[in-house]
Amino acid sequence: MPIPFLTPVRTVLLIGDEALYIYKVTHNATKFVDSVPWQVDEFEETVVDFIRKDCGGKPVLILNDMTDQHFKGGQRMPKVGAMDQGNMVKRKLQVAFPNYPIRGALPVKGKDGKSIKGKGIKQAGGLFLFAAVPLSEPVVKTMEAVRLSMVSIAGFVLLPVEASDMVKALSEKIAGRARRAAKWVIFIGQHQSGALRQVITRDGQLAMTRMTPVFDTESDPESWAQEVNQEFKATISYLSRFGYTPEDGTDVVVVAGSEAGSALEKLISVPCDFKSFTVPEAARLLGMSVGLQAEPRYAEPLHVAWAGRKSKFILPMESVDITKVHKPRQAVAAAMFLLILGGGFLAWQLLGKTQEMMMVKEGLANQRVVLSQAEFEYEEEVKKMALIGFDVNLIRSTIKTYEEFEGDSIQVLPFFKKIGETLGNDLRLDSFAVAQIYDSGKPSQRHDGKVLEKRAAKLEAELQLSFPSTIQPESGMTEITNLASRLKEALPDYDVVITRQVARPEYDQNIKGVAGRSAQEIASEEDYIAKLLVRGPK
Amino acid sequence: MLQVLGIKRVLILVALVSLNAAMASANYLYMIPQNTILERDLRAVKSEISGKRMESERLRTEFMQIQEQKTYFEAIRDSGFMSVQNRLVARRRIMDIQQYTNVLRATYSIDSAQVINNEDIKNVKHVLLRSPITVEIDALDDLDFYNFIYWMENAFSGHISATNIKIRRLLDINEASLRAIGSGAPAALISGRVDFIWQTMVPESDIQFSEEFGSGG
Repeated sequence: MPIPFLTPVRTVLLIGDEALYIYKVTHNATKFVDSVPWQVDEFEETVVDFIRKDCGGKPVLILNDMTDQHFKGGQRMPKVGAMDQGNMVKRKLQVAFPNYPIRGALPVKGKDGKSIKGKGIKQAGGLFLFAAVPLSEPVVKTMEAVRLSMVSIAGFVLLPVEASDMVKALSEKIAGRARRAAKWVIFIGQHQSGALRQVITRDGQLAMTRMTPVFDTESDPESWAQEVNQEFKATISYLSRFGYTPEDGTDVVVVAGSEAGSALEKLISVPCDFKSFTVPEAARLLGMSVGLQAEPRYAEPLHVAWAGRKSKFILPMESVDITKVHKPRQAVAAAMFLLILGGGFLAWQLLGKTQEMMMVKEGLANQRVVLSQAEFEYEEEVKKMALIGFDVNLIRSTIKTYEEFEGDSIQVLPFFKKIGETLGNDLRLDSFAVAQIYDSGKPSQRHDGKVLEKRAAKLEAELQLSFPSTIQPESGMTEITNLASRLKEALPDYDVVITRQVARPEYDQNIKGVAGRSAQEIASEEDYIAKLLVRGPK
Repeated sequence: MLQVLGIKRVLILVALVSLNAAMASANYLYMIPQNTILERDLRAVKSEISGKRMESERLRTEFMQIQEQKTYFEAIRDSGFMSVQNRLVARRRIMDIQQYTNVLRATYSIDSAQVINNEDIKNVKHVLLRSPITVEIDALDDLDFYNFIYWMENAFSGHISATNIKIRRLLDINEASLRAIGSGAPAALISGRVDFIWQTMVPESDIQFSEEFGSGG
């Protein structure tokens, strides 16, 4: 079912045997514009006028409903590559219809809807239905009118072929869900020219079409029905040659007035499912709207509405004349479509970029205001700094230098205090020497006049104590050892070493003496001086 | 071809092509490059704002730090750290300290100052003056000795620090020494020597001035 708003609006030129019938097809109506007999003077100009003015210059679909249509079914193609298949079909078509320049080929499908390929013949490529139309005067005139009108050509198609899927759709709608669609469907409809067009499908594909003149009157439906019944019987007779049997199931769809339809139904003796519609009824069943029709018993508007709204045709016919006009216009239409799409994209992009530019410009203006504020704040800070009245770098350098000197100085007085506390009341120093040293143990190099060493300052202190000769050396040694312990405890970050013990008991001393002397003599020889070395902090 | 296509179709086609070309030109030759430039400008301005704000913040912080440092600097400066090591002032200060600390005698020598170029203060056009000071001290009490060192380190002009200290007890407190003290004779019980380093920071121009007039150090 076509989607209404996507349905193409077209002008349909129905080529009949007597005249050209012009229709305007929109999504909700199929309007008969006029018919122009082939013999009329200035045929092309008249048709151009209708196409341009009455039909609004819409793309034209040429629907051929002439009797002179040629079909050749069951054309088997040799199996060739996909690239060559088109050329092969064209060559075959040319061979089949050398004198008919308007040609087309339709792949024949099986019941499953897939094209029939290689049945029985290994090298076969598939079965085709070939169709051709002679370049008759009506066709030439129609093509010339279309060329002069400057409108696009939607296609050149054959009415019976394009009606085959309509017939199938009608059959399926009639069958509904109650039963399967019949294998054979015979569609019968009378046209304005008086010709009776029968489209017969087998499994949904065109099997046969007939066009015969019948008596055309609305006042005598009985006579009309009898005449149509005769044609119907003839059709059934033809169909027998195509393998038709009544057991296959047959649907008969007739477009006619209600009385004529009823009369015909009574006359038909072949077992079938008979349905008769007027054009609006049939269109409604197909989900279309054809609008108000002056002659709802004529089937052309139904065919025109169906074919005119198709987006893809079953068998678009090709010829040099059609291609010469159709291809450039189609190419231009495609180019226009692409240009409109491209233009739309570019417009969208341009709009987006313009908005982006506006936003960035606005953002830039705002940020410039913020920048001027930030600059003002900065200048204020600079002014405040200038008002300090001092050279900031001088302040910093002075403080840094002074603190470096402080860090490089030894704090001797707190050290003296600790030593004094550790000595207590009983011990006293003979001498006390303190020197600033560095890690290497060498004295400070601060007198060399060079840049100060950056290492942390340490101090080295030598404490000298002496004991009276009246005490026992062991007592003095104990006192010194205890003093060293107390110093270690009071100055945990410092190394404390006894460098000289009372009475020099160290193993590396050379000693001489005389045993057997008095205690006083011995005491005078004893050494009661002790020395301790304190170094740190670690 | 014109007969097949028709003038109207061709004109529409030309118009569409022109419109597309115009819009494409506007887009790709003006809008996109212009937007790129504007966005770059915007980024630059934002970056500049960020830089200015950071700089302002740094100045603000520095201002507060400098306000604190200024007081410290003024104290350092007032302590004579930025003086040219006036020898007359130094002599008077040592005499004051000797009297205040009650040491019996303080024999001092101040060597001529060395001018030292220090990288840290070169940028502010200052140099260091460094003078070694040696003081031989005689005292009755070691406490006076320590007091002398304390006041030298805290009341002397500029930065001074002891590098070597030697202290020696000369006499024991006994009857004879007490008698000598009682008789008014200056009897030193403690003797010692202290090496100091006296350092100040002075403008280069002051040194040049002194050297030009031959009174440097």
